[in-house]
Parts: sequence; structure tokens; C-alpha cells
Amino acid sequence: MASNPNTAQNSKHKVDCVVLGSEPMGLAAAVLLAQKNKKVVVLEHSDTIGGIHGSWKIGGTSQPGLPVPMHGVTRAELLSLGFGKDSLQWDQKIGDAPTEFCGEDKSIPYFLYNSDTQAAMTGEWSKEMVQSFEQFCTFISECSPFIQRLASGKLPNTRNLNLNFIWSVATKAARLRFMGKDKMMELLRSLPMPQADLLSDHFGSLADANILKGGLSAASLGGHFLAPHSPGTSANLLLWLCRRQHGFGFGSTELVSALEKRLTDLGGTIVKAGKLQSIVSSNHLATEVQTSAGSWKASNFISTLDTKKTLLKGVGSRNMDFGTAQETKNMRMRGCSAVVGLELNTALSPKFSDRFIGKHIVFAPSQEYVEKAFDPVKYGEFAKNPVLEFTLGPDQKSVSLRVHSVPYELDEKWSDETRQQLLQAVTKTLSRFTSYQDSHLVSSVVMDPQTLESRFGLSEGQIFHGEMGLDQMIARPIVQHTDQSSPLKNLFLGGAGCHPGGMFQLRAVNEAVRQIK
Amino acid sequence: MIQKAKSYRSKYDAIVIGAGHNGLTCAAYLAKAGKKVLVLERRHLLGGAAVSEEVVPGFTFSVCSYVISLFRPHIIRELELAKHGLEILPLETSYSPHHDGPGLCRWADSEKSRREISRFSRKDAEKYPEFALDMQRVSMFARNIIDQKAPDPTSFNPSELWKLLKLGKQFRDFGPDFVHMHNKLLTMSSYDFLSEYFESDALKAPMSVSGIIGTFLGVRSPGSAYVLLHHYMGEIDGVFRSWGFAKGGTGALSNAIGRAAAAHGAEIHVNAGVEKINLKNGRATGVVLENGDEIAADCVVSGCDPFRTLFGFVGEDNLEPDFAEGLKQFRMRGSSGKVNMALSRLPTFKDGREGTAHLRGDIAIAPSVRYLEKAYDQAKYGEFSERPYLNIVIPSLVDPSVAPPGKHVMSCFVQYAPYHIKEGPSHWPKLRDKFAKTVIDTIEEFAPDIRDCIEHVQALTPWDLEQDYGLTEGNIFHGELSLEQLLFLRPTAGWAKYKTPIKGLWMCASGSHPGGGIMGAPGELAAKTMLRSAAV
Amino acid sequence: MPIPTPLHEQTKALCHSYLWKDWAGYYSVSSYDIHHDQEYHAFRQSCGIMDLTPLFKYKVTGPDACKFLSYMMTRNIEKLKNGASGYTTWCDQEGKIIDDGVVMRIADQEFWFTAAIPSFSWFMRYADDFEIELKDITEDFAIIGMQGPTSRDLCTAVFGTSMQKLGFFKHMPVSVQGDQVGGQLSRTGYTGDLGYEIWVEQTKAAKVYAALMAKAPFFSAIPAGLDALDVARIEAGFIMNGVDYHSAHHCPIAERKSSPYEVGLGWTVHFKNRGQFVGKDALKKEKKEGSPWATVGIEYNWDAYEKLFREKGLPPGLCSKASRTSVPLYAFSERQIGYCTSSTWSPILKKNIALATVEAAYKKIGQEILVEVTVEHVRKTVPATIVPMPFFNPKRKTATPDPMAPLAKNTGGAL
Repeated sequence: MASNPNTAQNSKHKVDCVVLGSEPMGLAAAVLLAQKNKKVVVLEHSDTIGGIHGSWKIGGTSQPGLPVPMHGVTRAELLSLGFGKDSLQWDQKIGDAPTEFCGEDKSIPYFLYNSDTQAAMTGEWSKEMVQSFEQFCTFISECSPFIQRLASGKLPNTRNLNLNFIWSVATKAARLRFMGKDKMMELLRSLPMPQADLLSDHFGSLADANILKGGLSAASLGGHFLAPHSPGTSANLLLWLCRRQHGFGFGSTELVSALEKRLTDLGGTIVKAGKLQSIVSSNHLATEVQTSAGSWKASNFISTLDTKKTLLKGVGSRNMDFGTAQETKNMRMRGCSAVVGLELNTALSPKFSDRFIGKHIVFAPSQEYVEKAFDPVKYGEFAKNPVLEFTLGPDQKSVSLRVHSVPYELDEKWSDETRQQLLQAVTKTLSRFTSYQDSHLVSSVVMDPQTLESRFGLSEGQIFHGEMGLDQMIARPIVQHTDQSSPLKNLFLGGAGCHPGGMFQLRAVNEAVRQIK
Repeated sequence: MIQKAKSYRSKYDAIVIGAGHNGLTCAAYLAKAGKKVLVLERRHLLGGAAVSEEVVPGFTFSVCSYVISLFRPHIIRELELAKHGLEILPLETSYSPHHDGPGLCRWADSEKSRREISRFSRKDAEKYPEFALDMQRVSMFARNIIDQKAPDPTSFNPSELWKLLKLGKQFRDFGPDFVHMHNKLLTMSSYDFLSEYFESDALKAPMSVSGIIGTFLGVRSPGSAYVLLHHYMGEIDGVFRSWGFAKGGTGALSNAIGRAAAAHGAEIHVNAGVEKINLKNGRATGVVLENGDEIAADCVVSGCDPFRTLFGFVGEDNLEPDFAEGLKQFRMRGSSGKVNMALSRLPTFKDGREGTAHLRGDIAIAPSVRYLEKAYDQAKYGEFSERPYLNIVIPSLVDPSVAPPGKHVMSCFVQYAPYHIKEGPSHWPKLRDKFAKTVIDTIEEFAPDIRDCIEHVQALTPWDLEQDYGLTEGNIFHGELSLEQLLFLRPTAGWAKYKTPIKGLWMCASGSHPGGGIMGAPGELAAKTMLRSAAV
Repeated sequence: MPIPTPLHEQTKALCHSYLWKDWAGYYSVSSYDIHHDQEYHAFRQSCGIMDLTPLFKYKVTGPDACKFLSYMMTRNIEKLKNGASGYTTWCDQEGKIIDDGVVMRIADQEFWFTAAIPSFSWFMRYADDFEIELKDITEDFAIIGMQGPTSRDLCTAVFGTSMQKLGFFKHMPVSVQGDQVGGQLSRTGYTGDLGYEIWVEQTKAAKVYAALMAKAPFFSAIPAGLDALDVARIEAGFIMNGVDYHSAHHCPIAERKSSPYEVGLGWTVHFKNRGQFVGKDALKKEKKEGSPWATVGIEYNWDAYEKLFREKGLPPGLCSKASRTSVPLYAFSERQIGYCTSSTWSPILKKNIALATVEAAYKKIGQEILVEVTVEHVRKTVPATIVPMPFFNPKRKTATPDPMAPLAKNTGGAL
């Protein structure tokens, strides 16, 4: 903890701005506010700064949290946070940290997905595959400017069909049209499709495309309660691919440390404040935040906690209109990922090649694998052959995994026993395509979605603060407040639950900070 | 009405290929406008998939489609179909048996329905009429889209922009939350959408499944919510009782339209299958029949699906490569089959309910959402569901004309039966018996004496629907009703207004806007478009 | 198909006319005799006994019960004392009325209330935020109504003298022949007259009904059905959900919804000294700005009415039953400015009266308007006047007798 002032019960404090949540977006919000000369405090309920992206322990060692490569961050954004060249390896391009789709076939051991260069594919690829992949990449780069504009722009407010709305829709339509009629039709047609259909349009049923299809599905849909045959998942795929067009190779944990230092340098503080109890308000203005450790008065508040927690627990459904409360209650937040950390005594390497090249590794050898892994989650079970995404510590002896298709409400109930069963499914799968053996395991930590909820404050263990099905993407987080506003005039919503959702993105935080004078 | 002698005019204003209900509707409107129309049907009777056949002597089966849920009321009026023999009998109850207990039945009597639903959840019982009201409001809006040509938001044509603005104003009139409700219906799964209103599985299962009939979606697949509206659109047309089935089976509807067309002067020939469309300089000039006869016309309208029309009758060689590639991406992907049975008596459902009032509507084998989703899961991997969703109607309970006295017809719509089974579609005939057995086994779990009642079973797999009824890949809607294949994208971008790249060749069936469901709308709109453009 | 109430066997035996209707899915007697006249007169001259079981009934208990109901109802429930009841409406967020009913405060944190339409789902939507238990007790209790001038005496004979002092809109537990019948005797009713309603546990309902019917002849009390009730309630100026207004949840269009102010129930909306309640902001705004519509009572001009019929050589047509047909109301310019929602001939007042919805500009007492009347298939109009409601409001409705006053004479040994 950077600082840990008085944590006695009923301690009272007063600042200019309070930021709820110390995950990267919360820290970024605090930095931006501090740069505006505001006295800002970040309230974090747990021991870890950075939430799920902070460092957490497995056994005796401190694990680098759940580092995910920083796709979608722009140079301009890093500059705006005041980062100079020496604070982050920010000249490390995304190409230096490709995603590796790992296979279980000697002839096609892996596929490196990387937007800068054509995939560094090894093995014997068919001519059709190479051609199809080139055409696919062209398609993505044609769609990319538009998708990125959508992701970085505001969502049109469908509750007020005024001139603003017409303008917002018309400009988007014009931009779309600018792509050319054919390309525009193709994109419009592609967006609502199931990913499986889109990829089948581009790759047919080429056998050597399986690893690509599987990897893309896993990477773009993991944690969203969706699978490749679900309609609308092409939108998720395009979003994931287009945001990869730029970004940086450093991981989220590095970002967290850098932000922490920057905030402290600017005079901001991060406080271990215990669990949120309420956001007190009167006349639709927030006055103070109460936690189990004390209360903080401020003139402005930004919450990067998930929307359900912020609005239902914090503000209280009685202090907002019924439609807003209802819409918030209806948000689908079904967490379906688990986080597993492994400490090994032997470096991990792939089975069918020399070493891991990618920084972010995915195991999903085919689309059918991903779909089959998803099915059990609908019935309150976890997949015996799960989809795995992981990163390795520098010595390759610590593994940080995201395991997909793990239900929040397990039929058999989460317990040490069922967590152990999950661990077994994970390690069994690991041994399919890596050098892993049970004798390598020193210690482990298994965080099922319920543990994620209690430990990192994620409602229902939903790591994206809200599933990204199409309907929840076009009105994010809720239709009444897509513009960072909330039922309280001086409480702003930032965080992963806001448009565009998912990974680290400064759009919402920037918009929130902008509204604070 | 149906000509015996095969003598044709030297030239027609329009030839309609296929006497399915849309082809006949199109022909009727064209004939009504004074055009000389010829309808050519391959089979020996009218209807296509909207057909009644006496498969077993004394029993009339609605072989394929079995309810007329959405046939546009104004078409019934304008073509005077009642005068030509169309009688629609109401389907008023919706019964969903369970393995234990009396199951759930929803009635026309709203208090009775409330009491039934209360057995599972009191809150759900009270929200049920509120849900109906919400859906009715959206249906009022959706109706406008169905009854007009598809708006094209990608065109900058002033008339299109004007249409879009008017549409926007309609959105506004319905209130600030309407656009969002509409967006949710377009993008959510029927299960998730219903879960925002209801809590009990017993209610959500049968309600969500009406959303996926004929599609390759599960009740938990995003995008399945919109089809929930179908039922409610039928309700607002309820004054016409269009939510029901035709007396004499679905074929009675086709026959009535046929009579209406003939009354206006259209000629209809059966046993006159078309082999190909004659082209001259890229223009359709008429057709060639399977027996070699050539018939000329100013234009040709196809009542068949887009693949049969363009890859079949026209041929890929005669199409621009880009267009052909684009059209190939139109997904057919049939997902259902049909099992029709002649019964010596009514089976006994083990629900303990007295009488047969609850069997006079539709009977849905959809005991839980889990059951339905598991049925779907299998289809994803190329298998037909071991325990499928069944939508059963026993029309003989209300319409004595379809079975001998005391006997009955049982029509079972079966989902999922994917055309593309993992062994390949042509393997289907070998699976037909197993498929029929699966269906009967499923019914047996709810009505243990079904096997004792069966006199005859007719099983139609997606393969049979393709081979015998002209439905490519067995898709009952001539192409999936998924968002990327609707409106201005149906059947392919740029060709959603019933025209094709071949001059003089038009399409008027479910493969065009607004899609399938026995609406008659594609047929009517195609005819009106043709007449307005003076193509004929 | 309707289902029977716990009193069905008894009421069936008495309903010689076989005239029933469907009230909330239950069989309910329209009139026991071919015509409801006698039953109406019982309401006004002696006592009518009614099976009111189909009303929806709810019970709220728990530490937040009072807070909860104060949040949900337009009336300030905190002001209700134990043993007292209050009539209230409840509205949605836009201040549009969903239903109306009576709330009884049984104990500090126990309330029972009635509703015309099923309301469990609406209240449950807000229940999460309060520590309460909401129970639907519709099927647990039967309700029997005793309405009319001799109703007090009848109740004394059945329930004992302790209920004599029961004040208007108060309630108390009672027993029958020493058996606690598990409910409450409440001095409320829908006839706008002296009357009582007893909530009795379903299993004991038949017994209580039998006890009432046994003593009934001494007080000229007879069973009465819904047709008679309709006449009485119109005289009392009582609106009915689904007839004079429509629940916001069942309106396909916004135009059809009403606020409490528009149905003459503005007096049930309290703002002073209380916190937030559902619809408060919208209601406050409407109170300030005024409402576009109002519910009023109208009286037909008898002479003009009689004249229309006389012109045809007919005696004046009196509708034999209360009517719920919408009848247009016009300004003298012949523009339609409203409509009658419930109309009836009032036997006690000897007038044609109606509850009507009119544009707010026409709601003043004394305002003259035209009401449509059809005479021999031809539509005509007749002048009518906006009059104060209730049309009929006897003193005995609220009076509590002097406990030392002699009990009713000629009880034939009943007491």
C-alpha cells in the first residue's frame, strides 16, 4: 500500500475527489484528477492495489497477478497520464508480445496472432490457408478504423431521439458508408453473425484453420458467457481484433505499479478502506462514501467498481428511479471464468515446440473445443476440458491462468473439493500441450468466480463488469447512463463496465474526469 | 381451376414458378391487376410446404406447416379468401406437459391462466398480462415493417431517408424506452429476455421456445428474442383469429389463394415442373419444363427459395461471380423435421387432467429450459436431438374433416434435426426410422399409450423436405431468419426488393423480405413492386 | 372457468336466479333474485350480506413493514394507528394509479391490505430494499360484508356487544360462539353506508356465514349480490378499478392511465412530514401544475330527460341495472368533453346519476353539460349538472352509538 492512514472505524476524511476501486482504470482516473490539482483519494477494499491486475500470492511467492497485454492503449493516452519513456516500456510494440494459440499437433504446434506482421506461422500451411488468412487480415484492417471509432466514441443515447442522436447516428453511418458500399454491407452483415459463421465464410472448413478459429474464439469470448455459435459474437471478435491493431506489450501489472508511483508522485493517496457500505446522497448529489473503515466526503466521485455494486449497494435503489434500478438489476453479470495461479519447480515449455514465443498463450485447439467447453456452464458445471489462457512469470515457473467456462453458481457448490477438481481439469489439460507434470507443482491458488467476487469485489465474479453480449454492448452499462453519468449528479461511472468495455481503456475515465470541473 | 389440358398461351405477362402460398399470392395480385399469369407447379397439388395431403386414406395431414399464425389479414380481405373457402379455426390453448404433475396450460381465459401459472410463481402469473401488453406495443411497430418493403439504411436515396425518418418518428411515439426494448429484442436470447420478466422455469421454457422454431438457435442463443414477437403479432390481428389453423389443413389456405388467383384469370398447371429459366442476353424470357415444353413470358417470378431459383433454374454460370459468392453465404441450414401420425384414438396424457380442452391448442414438449438447451447442443455437433423439442397439434379435435370419426391426426414439429448431420445430409434416409422412433419415445414419456394408438407414421427429415418439397437444406423459411439475413440483406445485400440481377426475373417467396412464417407478405409485396415498376 | 369461493355451497343454495358473474376468477352472485331491487333496498333499509372473498389480500410483517408501506402507498401509513385502517392508492413512478385499497394496521409492524387486481408482483419489486415479509393471503381468508342500517345489530348478535363501539374505519378481532375466527371485523364497506366486513380464516368461513344467516331474519338482512352493490357504490361516489379508471399496468397506451388527482383521490396523496414514496416527484408536479382530467359526479336534469321520452309517448326509461357503458358528455358547443364511466338510476335519490371523467375545465360544481341519451334508437342529449360527491352520505355511516343507548327493539330474543 502506498499509504495507509488511520483505518480506525468512523474515521472521517474530506478530499476533492474520491475514486472507488484501485484497478488500473481507477488509478488512471486518480492520476488525471491529480493532474488537475485535485486532492484525490483512491479507496480499495482489499490488500492488493490493482484488483485482479495487482500482485497476489501463491504459496510463498508473490505472483504477478493476472497480467494481460495492454491492447487498445494509445500513445496519446499514456502521454496524458504523464508517463515518460523511463516509467514504462511503452515503446514495446504489440508485435513484441503476440498471442500464441497453442496446438496439440506436431505439424501445427502453434499460431502466433499478431497484428503487425503476418502470423509467424510454423509448420506446413496449405496455400488456401495462407490466402484465406491474408484476405481475412485485409478485411480486419478495413473494418478496423470504423470499429475503433465506435469503441472510442460515445454511445448514442436511445432514450432521447433528438437532433443530437440523429447527428450521432448519421456521422457513424457516413463513416461506415465511406468504407465503400460493398465493404459496408459486408461489415453490417458480419456484425450480428455467430463467430463460427464469420470464420467459416473466410476459412471454409480448412483443417489447418482450426487452431486459428479456436484461438480467436477463446481469446475474444472467454468470460462473456458466449460461444462461437452464439449470434452476435462476430462483433466481439472484430472488437478484439481491431483493438489489437495498436497497443503495447507490457502487462497490466506493470501498468498498475507505474500508475501507483505516478499517483503518489502527484500527491494522491490510495487507502485500504474496507468494503463499500454506501454512497450517501441528498437531493441527487453524492455527499460522502461510507466504508467499514470510515467515511470520505468529497465534491466529486468516480466509481470504477462494477455498476451493480456502485448503484445498488452504493447509491441504493430507493435513490434512483425505478427504471434505472430495474435495468441495473437486469444486467447480466454471470462470471464464467476462474483464475488459477501455479507455482512450479520446473520451467514450463510447449510440448510441440522449443519454447513459448507469445506473451499471452491460449489453448483452444479448435472451435468445436471451445463450443464443447462452453456447454457445461449453462448447466452449472465446469468443463472437464476447459479453455485456458495464461501468461508466464519471467522464469517461466509461475503461471497465471484464466480458465474459461467455470460457472459462478456451481451445481455442486464451490468448496475446497470442487476447486481441487477444477485444478485437476486445468493441470490435465496443461499436460496435453505443455511439459507440465504433476511433480512440477509446488503450490497453487484456485479462485473460482465466487472467490473472485469476495476477494476482488467483482459482482458474480464477472471479470468484465458485465457480459459483452450485443445488447449489453450497445447500451453499456445501462441505457439510462451510457455517458458516465449516474443517478447522482456528481457521481461518475468509469471502469470496465462502461463503453467500450472489457480491457483497460481510458475512454470512460477521460469522459468522467472531463465532467469534473 | 387446375387445367387438365397442357395448352399454353404463346406469351404470358408473368410466369410464376411454384404454387406455394407466396407464389399463388403473387399470381393472384398480378392477375387481379389484369395481367395474364401462369403458375407452374412441379407436384400434383398446390401448396408447396403449405399443403394438405391424404397420406393415409381418410386422414388429411398438414404435411409440413401446420399453423397459420401470421397470414396477413389484409390479404385475406383483398383476395376474398373466405369466399374461396378459407376457414381459420382458433388455436387458443398452449399446453406444456411435465414428467410429473399436471404441467402448465395457458388458456384464453386469463383468470384461469393466472391460476395455472400461480402454481409455479405468483409473480410470474401477475406479470404475464403486462408482458403481453409490452409485446403488443412492439408488435404494433413491427407490423409496419412487415407490411412494407424493407427499409434500406445504407442508401442515400431521398425516399429511403424519408422512410427512415418516419420510422424514427414512430420509435419516438412509443416512448423513451422503446428503442432500447426494441434493441434488446433484436439482440438478446429469448431466455434472457424472458428472465427479465419471469422467474419460473415452467413458464419460461414453453414461452422461450416459440422463439426458435425453424431457426438454428437455442433458447439461450442471442438474437432469439425477436421471434417471441411472432405470437403477439398474431394476437393483435386476433380479431381475424389468424392465430390458428385452417379447416382442412394448411393446404386449404393454398387452395383458397389458388381459387382467388384463378377467379381473376390466372392459369395454374400442376405436374408441370420447371427445368430451367430461359435467358436471352441476360434477360429472362420464359421457362423450359421438365418435359421439354417451352413457355414465353415478359417476366418470370420464382416462388422457390433463392438457391433453387438462382443456382438451380438460372445456373451459376449465368451469374456474376461476385453476386454468386455473396449469395452462397446466405445460410439455409435446415434444423427441423416433421412427424405426422394417423391415430386410432386419442392418446392419454398422464397429467391427470380431465377432458380434452387442454389438447385443442398446441402441445409443446418443453418441460424445462435445460431440456431445450440440451436438445440444441446436440444439433451444434451434427446430431439430431435425442430428446427433441416437439410442437404438437391434434387438429382433428377441432376440425372433424381431417380424420374419420373417433380417429385423430397428430402433427409433430420436431427440433432439432440438422440438415448437416455429421455423416453428411445424404445419410438422412438411413436415419429416418431412428428419427421417428426418437419422436415417439419422447411422446411416450408423457402419453404412455401412444404406441397403441398409432395407425400410420410419416416421418420427414430435412433431407425429405429438400427432396420432396423443394426446400433447400430443409430450411422451412427458405433461409435462416437471423439478423444478418433479414430486411435489406435478404437474400443478399442489394437485392432485397424482389428483383434479381437477371432482368425480368423476380423472387416472391420467403427468401425475400419479410421472410417465412406463412405471411403471404413476400408474395404480395413482390407483386406490388412488380406492378409499380411496370415490369409486367 | 371461474372457481368457487369457500362460501359457494351456501351462496349457491340461496341463488335461486342462477345469475352469476366472474369476479377475479371466482363465481360471484350477480343477484340472488331475478332482479337486484330487494338486495339494494336491504343495503339502504336493513342489511345486505355479501361474499367479498375475491378481493386480493396481502399481509406485510417485519421490522420495516411500516416503512415499506409508507414507501409504496400515497397515504402516509406511518400516521395509521393500531386498530385503524386507511383508504389509499398506490402509483407507479410516473404518478399513475395502479390500484386502490384499504390498509389495516393490525399491530405496530403488521398490516393487511386489499387490492382489486393481483398486486403481489408490484410490491415484491420493491421488497428487496426492506426487511419485510410480504405474503399473499388472498386464499387464506374469506371476507363477508354486512352493509346497511341494521348491520350493527346483526353483528352484535353474532359477534357480541364488544363490536358496538367499533368506529368508522377501525377494526378488531372477534369470535363467533367462543371460537376465534382468526381475522378481523372491520368497519369498512363499499356501499357508503353503515357497514362491516369480516375477514375470517377460510376454514371457518362457512361457519361464520351460517351464523350470520341464522340471525339474519331478525334484522331483515338478506344475501346481496354484485348488481345491487354496483348501484350502492355509485351512489356513494366510489370509483372502481377497471371501470372508472384503469391500472397503469394494464394500459396499452399512456393516454388511458390516470393519476389519483384525476380520479378524485387526490386526498389520499400525502406529502407533509414524510420521506420518499413511489411516484412522489411526479405527483407533486401534477398537484402544482394541475391535471388534465377530473372525475366528477353528474346528475341528469330529470325534466328534460322525461320530456325526451314523453315526446315519443313513452314513460321515462330507467336503466334497470347500473351500467358501465361509456356514455359521451358534451359541452354546449357539442364538443365531447368527457364520458360517463358508471351510471345508474338511484332509487333512494330518485335521480339518474353517474360517475364521469371530464376535462379539468369542466369539473366545477354546478357546471352544466350535456349527456347523451338514446331514445328509440336515436341519439339525443340531455342537460346534466356536476354535483358534489358522494351523492348519498348518511350520518349513520360514521356515527358510533352511545354505548348506554338501548339496543334495537324487537329483536325477538336474538340478543
